[in-house]
Amino acid sequence: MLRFILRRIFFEAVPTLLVLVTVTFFLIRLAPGGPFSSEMNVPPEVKAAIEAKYRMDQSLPMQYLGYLADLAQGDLGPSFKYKDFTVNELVNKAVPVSFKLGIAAFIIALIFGVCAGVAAALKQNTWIDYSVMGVAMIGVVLPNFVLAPMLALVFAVWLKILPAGGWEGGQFTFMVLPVAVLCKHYISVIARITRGSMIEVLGSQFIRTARAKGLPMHYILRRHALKPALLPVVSYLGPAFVGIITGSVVVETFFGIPGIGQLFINGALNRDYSMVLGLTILIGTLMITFNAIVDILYGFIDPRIRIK
Amino acid sequence: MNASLPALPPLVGLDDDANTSIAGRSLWVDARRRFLRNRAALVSLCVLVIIVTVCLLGATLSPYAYDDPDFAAMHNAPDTQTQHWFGTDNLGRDLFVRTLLGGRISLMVGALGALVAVLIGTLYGATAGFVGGKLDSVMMRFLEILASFPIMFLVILLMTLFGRDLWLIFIAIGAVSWLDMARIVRGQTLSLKRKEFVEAAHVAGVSTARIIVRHIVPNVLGLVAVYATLLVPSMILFESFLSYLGLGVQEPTTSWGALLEQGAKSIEVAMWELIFPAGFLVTTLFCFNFIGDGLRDALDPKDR
Amino acid sequence: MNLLEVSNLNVRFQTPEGEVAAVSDLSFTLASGASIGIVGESGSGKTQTAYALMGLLAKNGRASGEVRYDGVNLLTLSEAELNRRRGAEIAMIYQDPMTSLNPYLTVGDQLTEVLQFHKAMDKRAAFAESVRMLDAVRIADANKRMGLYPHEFSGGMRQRVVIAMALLCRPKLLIADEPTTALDVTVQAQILALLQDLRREFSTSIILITHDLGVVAGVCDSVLVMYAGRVMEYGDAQSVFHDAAHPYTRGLLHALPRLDRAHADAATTGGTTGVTARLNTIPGNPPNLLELPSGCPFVPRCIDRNSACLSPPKLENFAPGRQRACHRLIDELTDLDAPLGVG
Repeated sequence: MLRFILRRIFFEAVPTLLVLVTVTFFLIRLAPGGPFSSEMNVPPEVKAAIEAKYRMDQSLPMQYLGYLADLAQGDLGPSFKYKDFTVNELVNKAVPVSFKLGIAAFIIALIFGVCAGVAAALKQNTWIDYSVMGVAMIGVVLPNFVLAPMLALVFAVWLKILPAGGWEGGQFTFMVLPVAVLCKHYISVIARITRGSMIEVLGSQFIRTARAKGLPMHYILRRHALKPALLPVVSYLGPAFVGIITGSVVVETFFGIPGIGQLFINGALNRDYSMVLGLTILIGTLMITFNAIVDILYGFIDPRIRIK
Repeated sequence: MNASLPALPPLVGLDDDANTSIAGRSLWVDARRRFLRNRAALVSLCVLVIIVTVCLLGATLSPYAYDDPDFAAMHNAPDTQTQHWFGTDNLGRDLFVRTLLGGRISLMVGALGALVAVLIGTLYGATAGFVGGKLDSVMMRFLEILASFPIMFLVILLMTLFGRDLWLIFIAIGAVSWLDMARIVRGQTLSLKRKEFVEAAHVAGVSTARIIVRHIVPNVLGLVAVYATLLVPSMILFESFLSYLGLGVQEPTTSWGALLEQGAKSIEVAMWELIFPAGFLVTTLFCFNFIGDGLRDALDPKDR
Repeated sequence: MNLLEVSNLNVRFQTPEGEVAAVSDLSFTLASGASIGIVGESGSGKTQTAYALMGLLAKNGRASGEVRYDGVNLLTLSEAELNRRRGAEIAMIYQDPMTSLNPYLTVGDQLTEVLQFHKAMDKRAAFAESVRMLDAVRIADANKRMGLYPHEFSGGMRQRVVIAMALLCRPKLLIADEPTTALDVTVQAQILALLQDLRREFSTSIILITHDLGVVAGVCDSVLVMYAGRVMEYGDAQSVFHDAAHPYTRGLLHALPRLDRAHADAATTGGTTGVTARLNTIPGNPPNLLELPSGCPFVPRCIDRNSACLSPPKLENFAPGRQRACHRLIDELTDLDAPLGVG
């Protein structure tokens, strides 16, 4: 098991990260009108800082190595746009906000999605099943940027019971709508995955064996069916995490929440290269790390992987 | 079959075919029968055809152009008198014409993006699966690395660096969405490769490239059709997402995502600016999903 | 009194293509300690019969008729009452030991839970008893293997575990659905011998479901031959084997590979040596339950058919303890073992 974990980290996660960093580093050098061209409209003190940071006077390999060394220390460089700030300072303020939002959505999606999926599977082809799957279908198809304004219209403009935007340090009322929009898609997907795998597991021969042993259904569900039925959900956690981070871009933009999603989009719209670059690498690192954690978790759950 | 058994005596009134007709039915005929019986998929197909037709031809019915601002008629509600059937937007442009134009762009991005993804994915997957061995593991390793990239953010990075060009959107979206396709095709190819008819072709000296084109690709086609259908809506969503963020198509051209961005901003004063593009977008997405599900059930009747 | 009396058992499935009659009007009895073989090709309804007896039909399936076990009709019992008997008094062994054990639980967990539920044993007692039962089915090192997962066992070993699991509570009735089909030939013989030993030791009644008449010959007192969900022939094993009274049974027996016959066949077909003779088969495919002919279900493949066969035959007694469903007289049937032209 230890070998599996070490291999997962050092032969998969770390090289993937390196590839990501390398690709972004050379992409930015390929860009026409990129950060290093003289026409860029950048305050002179920022330009000086960038030239120092990227070791413009050195050879390309040295620049690359220096960039790696900075990254290793977590230094993302100065912002192109906000000359008094480094990217790190801006990101440090935004990360806790996005984390709070994302984790709330993640947990809610997991709990509600699994419960709805199990209920639908147990009551297959009843009105419970049909309504869960109908709502899930809508949840998958309805985009965040349609749902968010609709919810804001109903709850903020018409009913006036929830704020239409803002963050205010993450007070409960300010979190309700963003979290609802953010988790909608993942509740739906997790419910569909859980239902499908639960139905498959319940139809499998080993569940029949368990029933033939005279075990009561609730025990069979808990002891025999739940774990295999949740394995596909576990492997979806990685993509779900990625999706929630991505989705937070829309949600944060619409509700005016000062998280990394908004920072990223503003950076992109303002051509704040170092910001976009730094955030791409940061988010990539998060995703790769999370995927590695999920894989290792999966290994702990499935005995057949554990042995290998 | 068996020399020691006497032949079956002929029997009038017995339909000997009754027992063998099932085995003789072809996969495609069977699939079409099942698809035509799926009402949700069939209705979706009709609705989709209507939407596409309206998007392509509907704009000729309106006296307005998509980029004609009218500052006397900003945020006007839908009205048949003025022939602004869907109302006007923040610059007084006709929303009906703009919604249909947006539809053309969104559908085109969806279709072309899916096409790019399917082409790359099928070729990549079929090659990896068919050749196998070292090449397969290297190709799959590369796929895994790409899959753990923050794709959406990379695309936005690309947009930031290279400007916001419609063609770049097609390519970027298609080029990052072929990963699943490749994996599915590879799996299918691997299982096909072990089938007798492919081995027979190999033994008969047919070249590898020919085997891929003549034997593997046709057999993988059904699966590709299903996933292509499901890819189109996700491509449309992807484009809408970019356009909503202001990173996709640029004014005065528009797409459903770009219209939605404007609609979301003016939702308090002009609901129709959100409702019409959202209605078109969501209906289209629903249709593609139902059709895709219908195709999958028709081609892979697992739970019968 | 008979341990099991099945009368007029019908199993129907609702499918998108229509109603499928998987089992029709099945009746048989089984005395305590006796064994019966249910024989047929795939699609003959033998496995669905077993599931109906156990109350394990798929959701779209319905069983009607009567299954009297110890005087109680199992088909009308509630799930809870059924659960008291399943696993404790009636146990089942499945065809495929690869899929019938839960891959996510250790073998020990899957064994002990039976005893914990039915015998209210504590963990330690259940563990000790399970180890004893693994010893009984001749799994070496049972103590250590309790902690392993199913995929760490070989196919034969897994089937032994399944058998041990079925026998934990000393059931009065054991239903074995193709217990040896998925196994190597040498392992098959061991498992069959094991079943025989255990039957003697625990005086368990056995229903053995198989497509292989050879397996039945070694183990069963009586035989029931099914085709397309219907009984074709029923009787004690000896007479069915030596004096089959239905064209289908004769076809099945003829399909058994036999060295002595290979030579004779080769001679009659002009083969040069006995070794080149082919295996005999029944021509045609197993029945498609959705498109059965209106008369005798076997008629599309029957070499003895005539116009009478277009109406459904009745299952009738024709000798003491023997039944068959065929319009033709026994004397009129083709003798497959005789050289061509003579029968």
